[in-house]
Amino acid sequence: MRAVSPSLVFRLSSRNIWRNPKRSLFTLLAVAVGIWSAMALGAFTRGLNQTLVLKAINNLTGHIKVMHPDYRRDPVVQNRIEAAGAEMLSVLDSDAVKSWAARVRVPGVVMSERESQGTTLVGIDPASEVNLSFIGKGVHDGRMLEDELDGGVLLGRKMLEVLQTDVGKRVVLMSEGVDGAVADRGFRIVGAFDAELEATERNYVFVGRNVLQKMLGIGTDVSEISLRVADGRQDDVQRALRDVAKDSLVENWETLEPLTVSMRDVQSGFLHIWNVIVVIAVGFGLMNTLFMAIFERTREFGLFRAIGMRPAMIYLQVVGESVVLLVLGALLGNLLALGTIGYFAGGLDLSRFAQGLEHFGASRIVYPILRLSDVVTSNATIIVLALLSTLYPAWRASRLEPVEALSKI
Amino acid sequence: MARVPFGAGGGLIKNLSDNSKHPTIICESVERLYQQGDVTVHALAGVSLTIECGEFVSLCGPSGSGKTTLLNCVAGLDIPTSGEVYLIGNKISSMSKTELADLRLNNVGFVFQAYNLVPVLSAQENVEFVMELQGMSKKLRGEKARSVLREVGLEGMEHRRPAELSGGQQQRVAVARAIASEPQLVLADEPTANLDSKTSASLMDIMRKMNEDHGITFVFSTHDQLVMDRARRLVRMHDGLIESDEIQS
Repeated sequence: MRAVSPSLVFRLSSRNIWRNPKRSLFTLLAVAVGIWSAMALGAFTRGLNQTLVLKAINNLTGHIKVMHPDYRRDPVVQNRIEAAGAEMLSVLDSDAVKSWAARVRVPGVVMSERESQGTTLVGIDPASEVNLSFIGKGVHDGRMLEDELDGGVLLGRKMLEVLQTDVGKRVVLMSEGVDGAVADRGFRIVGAFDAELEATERNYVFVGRNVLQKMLGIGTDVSEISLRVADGRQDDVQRALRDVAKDSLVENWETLEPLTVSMRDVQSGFLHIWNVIVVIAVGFGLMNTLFMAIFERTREFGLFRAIGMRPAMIYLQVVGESVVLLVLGALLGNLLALGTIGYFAGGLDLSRFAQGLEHFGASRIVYPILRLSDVVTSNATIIVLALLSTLYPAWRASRLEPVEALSKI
Repeated sequence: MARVPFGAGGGLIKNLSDNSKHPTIICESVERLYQQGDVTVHALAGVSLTIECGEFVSLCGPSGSGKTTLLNCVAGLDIPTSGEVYLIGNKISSMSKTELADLRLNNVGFVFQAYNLVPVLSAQENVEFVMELQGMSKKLRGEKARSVLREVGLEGMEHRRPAELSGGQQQRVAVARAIASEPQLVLADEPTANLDSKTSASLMDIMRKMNEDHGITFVFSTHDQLVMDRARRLVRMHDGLIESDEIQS
């Protein structure tokens, strides 16, 4: 004798679902919406997180920075390092490093004929910044600095507004020189750059590295070396740099940008909380549906037990109904999620919230990122946990006493 | 009485040669007490009864006389408070729930007052249900189901769902389901209670024919005089006891 007939279980499970189509449809939709929200929100959150991280990395941080041990605490000209020596160059020029740049970066003041503004003076070699930082992408108005000897200055568009000046006019940059005296020099504004964040346009003023080194009197010394590494090589490169730059501080972006890391973690945390809420809602909805279905079919289960159906088969039948509902719901949820993500593949414009987004360094346009692991995790989490919530109703159904069940009206 | 299998396949009669040696049912001083609050109800107050293979027996009596409780105890669905029940030579009190379930699956058919068909299955699928649980091949159980449905006069209605059948037709499907697997015993609890007299008579004729043609033992509880008249043996119950037990001509 066969204890369980899989084809009978499947037939009963799949047909019983449609005994109460409205109820089953709502349950199916709950599962679909749950999976849709987990996948779609997950993709947008991942996209948002990536913009946060990329912006942090682009914003003169890179993946790794080498600097004077006291520079983070006090970024003045005294806290500087020597230009990269042969040992460090062997690391920086290796295949693991995509690009790198040495910069002079000190606090200073920029003055126009009308206004003055505190800022950060950044001396760059423009060619090194390509593929490394946002300034490497060029300027919006005027021209880019030609090289590290270029005597011009680049200001952000917002800074031009603050200083009430424009490309082609002159400004004075002022900072503390290496000897502790005020160091200053006049520069012609040769270009204006755009950044997604207005704060960035105010916070940085770019000049040729060599020009700034001369102005500050620091020879070939620099404030920092910033680099981008190949995927998955960050830890290796950081270790290698620490070996060759024992007197310097070598930190990765996660240490240098704690706010970004916190924002990323907070958003991921919210997503997990949302997923838990969805799973609980779907689980309880499914449990309620099954309890109602079992209550309505008590006599039927009594009949099954009376004629000799084993409890395991009743159990499998009820669980089978959940599986069919979950699979159908998951299919619908995946289709909805893929449709939503596909629709916004060109970017979700959050300009309306841009001011608010700026405060935590997010981009105005978010590109959803869907990974196979996210699809698997979203589906598996909801299906497995929802399935767990059906075990108790199924067990109850399988344990019904036939005489009592048959006497139910 | 010799038993004749249904359909072309036959072959599902389980150890008939062994089981036929025993009476189908033996009840020895069966008591079933229920506690309702502070009151103890004697649903069965010491019933002793033997039913031989191939009998066509009616349990009759007023509501609360213990007919349904006796059927439940005989089927192993309910456990007597005291006394013993032997079903086809098996002492029920010494069997596990799984063994009882298997005994019912292979040897007992049920017909209920409320038909109790599975609404999501067609008439033929309902009739095949027990045989499918038994693990019979699709082809064989299909042949048997169609054969039995033909015998109960439902040819051409194999693919209708219960909701598409009248009460009488549904009860005939229930009878077909009960007998299709060729059990030794069919227990029917008030099988005609929801049917009109003409349909009841027709159904009883079918069951009687199954009894005569296939040697299946039938035990049914009833209030219905028409049903009582068609029984060969009439067991009258009252207050949980057998009041009379007589063979009818």
